[in-house]
Amino acid sequence: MDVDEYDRTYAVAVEEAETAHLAQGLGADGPDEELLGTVAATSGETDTRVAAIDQIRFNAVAYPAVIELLLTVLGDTGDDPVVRRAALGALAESSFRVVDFGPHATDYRAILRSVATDADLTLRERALEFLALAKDEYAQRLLLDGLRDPKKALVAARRALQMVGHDLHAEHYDLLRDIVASSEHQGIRNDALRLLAADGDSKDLFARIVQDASQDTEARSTSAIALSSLAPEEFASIAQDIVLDEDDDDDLRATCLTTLAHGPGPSAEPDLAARVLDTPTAKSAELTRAAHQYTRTMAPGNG
Amino acid sequence: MAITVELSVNGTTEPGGRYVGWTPAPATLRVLDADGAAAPIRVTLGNRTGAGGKLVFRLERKDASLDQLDLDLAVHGTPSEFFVAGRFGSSSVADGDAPLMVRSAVAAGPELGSFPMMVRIRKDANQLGTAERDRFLSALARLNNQGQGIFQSFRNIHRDSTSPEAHGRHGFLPWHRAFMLDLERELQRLDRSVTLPYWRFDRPAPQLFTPDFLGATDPGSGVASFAPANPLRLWRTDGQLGIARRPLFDTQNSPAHDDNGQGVLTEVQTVALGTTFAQLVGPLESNPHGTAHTSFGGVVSAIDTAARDPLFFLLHCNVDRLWAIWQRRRGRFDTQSPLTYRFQGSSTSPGATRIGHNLLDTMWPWNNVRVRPRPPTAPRTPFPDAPATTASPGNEPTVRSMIDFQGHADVVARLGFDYDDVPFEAPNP
Repeated sequence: MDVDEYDRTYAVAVEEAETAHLAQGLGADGPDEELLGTVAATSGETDTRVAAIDQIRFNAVAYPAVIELLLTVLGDTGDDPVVRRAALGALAESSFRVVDFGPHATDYRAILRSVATDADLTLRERALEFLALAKDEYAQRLLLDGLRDPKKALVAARRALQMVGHDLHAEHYDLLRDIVASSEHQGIRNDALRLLAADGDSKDLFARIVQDASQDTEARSTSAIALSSLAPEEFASIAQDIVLDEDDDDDLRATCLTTLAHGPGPSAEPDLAARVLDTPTAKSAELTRAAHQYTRTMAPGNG
Repeated sequence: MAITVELSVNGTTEPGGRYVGWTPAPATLRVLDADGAAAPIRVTLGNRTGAGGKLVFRLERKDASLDQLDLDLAVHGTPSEFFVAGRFGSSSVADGDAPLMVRSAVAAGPELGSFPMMVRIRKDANQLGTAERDRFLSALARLNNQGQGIFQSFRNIHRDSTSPEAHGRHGFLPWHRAFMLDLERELQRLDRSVTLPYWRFDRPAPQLFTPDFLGATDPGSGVASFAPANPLRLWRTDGQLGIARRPLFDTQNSPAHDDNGQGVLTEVQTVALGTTFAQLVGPLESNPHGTAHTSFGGVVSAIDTAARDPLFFLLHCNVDRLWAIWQRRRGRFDTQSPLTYRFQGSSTSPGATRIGHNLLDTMWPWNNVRVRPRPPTAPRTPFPDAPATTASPGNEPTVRSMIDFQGHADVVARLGFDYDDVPFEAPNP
């Protein structure tokens, strides 16, 4: 590559971008009052207001008035949900400048809590997720209530499970085991299994599922990985049998090989992958990839 | 007998030193056995023909780069000095695929040596080769070791409680540069050929968000899905299996944006944010940095949990690359200039900003300072060294030590990494 040519092309692009910044007001010293007025005008056109938010969000955290306006828009349940979503996006982005955002953090959390039960599903989901990531007890209670009683659910069960997972405690494991035992939705069941992977009391459940060929492959794979961490010795023994079982699912065999190579368990047989590759039966590309990777990873001196 | 020569790169004759980027690395060549020759032996340094990384040579560090270099070697073993680097645009794809060839300068003279080297460069993750990708994933998974490895210490230093060390002030960029380099060096302890790739969030990255790489979208679970042979399938942090990540944009066809279409600034828009560091760092921390984080739901969308997702490191590698591009375009490597870094003193200097964000401050956690206002623990200490390639930044990096990463103003300051599209040479005015 010619460095000079690269630089010439780049210089033109940067110059154009600098001009564009100025044209959009992005290089201005403070918020444009007219733009703030556009955002605040609840009777305004949706697209116009969203476009205005897109402009004032730039470096918004440097200007308390902008953040306060965005909080007002987000918290106004009577306002246009599309505009409120844009305000939430701008606030989430600004919250990454945590020191400057600090003075607004309490108000932000309070408004997120109010939005957690909003009529707009998208706003509700996003607010619940931000709160769940912050380990907010109120949000956690709403999510668990919805999982226990679907009539109270604010979001779909799988979304709720994902969010509950942001702040999982031992007291939740009974609920998760109930879901594994009773749910007829395989996706929900698999999600619950994944969250149980930290639960030592579920070790036997995982050992049973991974060895049960009638179970869903994803459930068996998740169980294999969970078991490898909870009971490495037991997993290694089960996994080696699965890997060498040509009648078992290739994806599960590949998962077991990958887990043996990269997990914390005892050293597995160095020639295990070679034995898989040496068999004359057809193998999936994924199993072959896992076998070669296993060989590389287990090679002496690697790591 | 035949003439034998010995190569030293980065101050060592060990193979571990033979990793270079675009930044010239000091090297020497000397005769071990002159095979009876009495006059200096003229040799030509060059590349092997065919595929693989390619090297360039300089007699002096600031010289123009050459594809071949003639050296006169003293027969009594006195080393001849030169500089070696990768040829811009010709990085390696495998360890040792850029051998430094030493030939007699006599026409059709014999080959005197072939020394495996690697042009080791941080690359666009979306363009990474399969083997490069798999080496990276394997090293990352081993570092995590299902949540029982040292990756947890990386996760632990990027929390809400430690955030003031890393965010919201000018040290945002230097701190995260150190964070990326720390992780990369740990990966390289497992596999020397690995570098940290970057997620160029202002472009679609269809090769990155796949089951074979950083995971595909599973809209049902909101958890990234992986192929059975992808070792990230085992990813576990804080005791939990999996990576909660839900893109709000079309990862196959679109640059990053949130669910309202509010997108990241492009690379050139970012570089155009300002001509001084003070003009760049604040806005950049919001957009594209914050915007890239919040273009997903899941752990990467909040400071306290973001480092649980490996994507965090590819995202921040790109943030660092944007700073590197800006530095080169604006010539901002001289740490004594307030245009390069505004807060020139230490935290006790007049007009100082928060501790950890002044030029002369050491950075937590690598400095192991655990008294207020620093956090009470320091999970990553000391900063890992890379003695085979560079002595910088030392075990207690300062803000200053993170700035001149290619050693423009201070040759000792080079940090031993380069980006595929950030040359060493200054832009031609």
